[in-house]
Amino acid sequence: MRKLKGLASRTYHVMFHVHTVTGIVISFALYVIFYAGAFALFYNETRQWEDPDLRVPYTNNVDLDLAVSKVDKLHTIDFGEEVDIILPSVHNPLLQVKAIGESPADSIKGETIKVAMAPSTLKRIDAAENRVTVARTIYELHFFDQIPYAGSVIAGFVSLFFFLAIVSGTLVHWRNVLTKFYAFVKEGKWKLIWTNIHTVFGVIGLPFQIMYAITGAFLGLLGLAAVPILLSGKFEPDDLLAKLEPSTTIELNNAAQPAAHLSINELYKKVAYHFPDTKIQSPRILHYGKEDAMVIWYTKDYKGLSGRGEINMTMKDGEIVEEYSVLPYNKSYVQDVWNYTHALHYGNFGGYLIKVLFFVLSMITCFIIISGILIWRTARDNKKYTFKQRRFHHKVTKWYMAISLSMFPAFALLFIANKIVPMDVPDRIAMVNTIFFLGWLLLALYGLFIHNYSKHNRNYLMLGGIFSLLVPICNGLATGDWFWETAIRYPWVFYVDVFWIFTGIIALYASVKVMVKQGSDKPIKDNPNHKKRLQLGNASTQGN
Amino acid sequence: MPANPKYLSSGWKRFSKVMAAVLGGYAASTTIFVAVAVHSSKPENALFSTTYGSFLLWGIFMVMVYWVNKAWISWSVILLITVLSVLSIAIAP
Repeated sequence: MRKLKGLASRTYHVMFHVHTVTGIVISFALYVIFYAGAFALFYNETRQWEDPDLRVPYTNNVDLDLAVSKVDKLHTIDFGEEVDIILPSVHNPLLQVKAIGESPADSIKGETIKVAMAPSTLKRIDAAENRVTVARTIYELHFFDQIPYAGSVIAGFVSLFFFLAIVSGTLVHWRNVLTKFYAFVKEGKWKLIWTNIHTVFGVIGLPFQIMYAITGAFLGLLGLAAVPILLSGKFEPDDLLAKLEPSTTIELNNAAQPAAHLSINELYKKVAYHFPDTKIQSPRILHYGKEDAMVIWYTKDYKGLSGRGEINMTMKDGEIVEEYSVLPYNKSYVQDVWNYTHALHYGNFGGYLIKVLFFVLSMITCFIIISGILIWRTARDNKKYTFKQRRFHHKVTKWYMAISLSMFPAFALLFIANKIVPMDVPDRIAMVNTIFFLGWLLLALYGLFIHNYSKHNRNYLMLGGIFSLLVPICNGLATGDWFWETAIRYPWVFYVDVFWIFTGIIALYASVKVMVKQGSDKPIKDNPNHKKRLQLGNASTQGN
Repeated sequence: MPANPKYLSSGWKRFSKVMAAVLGGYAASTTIFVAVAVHSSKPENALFSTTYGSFLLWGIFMVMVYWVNKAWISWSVILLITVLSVLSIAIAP
């Protein structure tokens, strides 16, 4: 293997320091981002598990016009405003209608109405949207939305500095990047083991991590990047928005006369005919019943990066209006930039292969982050540092291990909480979130009393494993949908249960096999070297 | 393994470099894109490229600030780019 030329000495040390400082500063937040993000990839797939009201058989055969007229009878829809219909999907088989109308209780106009219906009977189902959370909590945690206003901006900055950490780390590693590509060692000093894993996985995950660093910075800091554009005074924000979203330029005539047009069902057949390989998710209807009525069909195909569509049709004759449409695989550069970024970040391309791959790579990234902290700790476990400094290093590492590793049982606890809190409890979402965050806090606090990092590892694996196995049990007890039954009827409920079963088994097996080192990682005043602890060969075996 | 402190700057120089990297990098990377946009026939292309490009450039500027030894050199480069960009935005029709 050709040996690459590394950095000059001064540059090497400076880049190393940049990498260490950015790494340590952002790593708490970055771990949470990647861990929550991995699960958030499966937002839609979790909905049917978390919300028993969604466990109805899926059908594509729905009378959309009848649905709209039913909602209209109850709520007097204002057809001058947008009417959105969310079509049934395999993950959420309910039909939903959103419009502006009147609530029957007080006849106040201009209220936002949301109605969920069983797709075949069009019988109204009380929207459980306000009563369940698992996917939403994890999704919001991913960009710290629990912190008002600043949360996503903080996440964006973490992403930006993650990019700096990636570049500086790659530069530091550059001279070894080819020669040490497969360097996995099974014995020797812990520092070497962590370093090799950190660098090898770092190199393997490089494209993935760079993509997420940039797309993450985009999503979090878009406002910041837009400030100079707006400050320059040379561009109209409305014009720019129109290039991205041509439907914002639609101007409808408020005085338009009522007129007959094709039914929504007929128009659905037309759009399905023109775009056969894509999932039609939601029509947005403008001026229903009038002569200039329009429908925008929102579609996604989860295959290519430019697969999303907004197909605009006049309802009179079903003609596609290209001027207002954003077509799949036929977009302008501007629209493609937007769609590529979002498709890449959400993993909405390449089907489930990509989602699973991104989940695994996210977990590997979490591992890269932890190994970085452990390298930092073991590299400073020597006489060069004062006792106070070494105690500080240990404290940081301990907090880090406790907060990060406790996320595993905490997430399982969130799923459990979703099932053990009864459905009719008022303010149920707040209660489930409280159980999750309080539980995570307590699980993390427990780790602060452990002073041996391999014990952190083993104990959290064990706790996580037990909680994981409880998830499908709680689902079965609370809803009666045991996983052996849902395999045929509701496969997505089955997959979530099976995921937790596998995770639980693997975690418990790993916790038993983990090699737990003797003694404590806490620095002792008189004997800083502790060479005995650092050798893998001397470590005690399981069950310590 | 930890960086040898003899190569690392301290005090004002360190503060200056952090400012150059974070604030200076932001100013230089974003104004370049606006300057290019103002002079193009399809400005929306350059402007939407800012969504990913400005963060890429910002990161590269941050690395440059630390690659170069003296803080005043990186500050000069960043200020030069920013001032040139702002001027070309101002004089554009």
